[in-house]
Amino acid sequence: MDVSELPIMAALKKRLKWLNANQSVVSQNIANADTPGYRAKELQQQDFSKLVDQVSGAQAGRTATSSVALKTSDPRHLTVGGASAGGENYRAKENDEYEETPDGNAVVLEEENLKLADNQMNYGLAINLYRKNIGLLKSALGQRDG
Amino acid sequence: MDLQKAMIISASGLRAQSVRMRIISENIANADSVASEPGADPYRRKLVTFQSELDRQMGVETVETGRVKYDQKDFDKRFDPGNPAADADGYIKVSNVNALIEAMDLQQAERSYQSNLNALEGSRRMATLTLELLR
Repeated sequence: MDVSELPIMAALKKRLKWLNANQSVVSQNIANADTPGYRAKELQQQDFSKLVDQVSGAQAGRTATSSVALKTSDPRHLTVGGASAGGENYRAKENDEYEETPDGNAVVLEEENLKLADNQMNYGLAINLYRKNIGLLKSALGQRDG
Repeated sequence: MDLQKAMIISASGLRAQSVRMRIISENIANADSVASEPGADPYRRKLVTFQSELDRQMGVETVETGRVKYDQKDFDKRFDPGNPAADADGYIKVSNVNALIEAMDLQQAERSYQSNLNALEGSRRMATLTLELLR
């Protein structure tokens, strides 16, 4: 059994990857906060709740095999186990909802800082969940600490 | 690795902002300079330019400082007939630096620098969290 292919672990791994990529995008926005003509970019959101539904549904149900293929109707959808639906799950798109300075820059520093803090909180959450799952496996193995 | 990319981007931001601060310091330091002889020009205000640049090796868009430009605004004139650099009418040219504008610019640079530092610190903390999984 491959530990990292467990549905929950695989899902968390995807989540961490997305948060990592998001950190890069937000950093990029902050670094270019004074670049004329630069527009803030935003990573497309992951459909995490749908993923959780699918994972728990699969466990309740029909097939008992560990390799459950998830139904995807959109290349952005997450997959568990096998190959992802559409290569990379994320794409940065330009955001044009923000105010623009006279030099054509559309980065709101406060907004980006907020996103940064949010990203870190989510990362901490995912990491802690990952750790708890490892702990769960450890106690199944008979080790108490973890 | 993505976190490393994020750190490289933040570092480029820090570098760009510190160049900007250096240019602002130069402007402020030379704000009171005057022409040395009649007809000569005093210090001309410098302007730093930013451009976002694609780092193909890393696949990330960092920020770079472009060529330093000069402010094309006319020099100010001050009436000082005793000055050896004064022209026939008794005026000397003084630099076109406005200390107030520079001070504001410096504050903005500081704010941007702080934000970049924040982002860097955040990325570092995320990397630490990941590494702590090994414990």
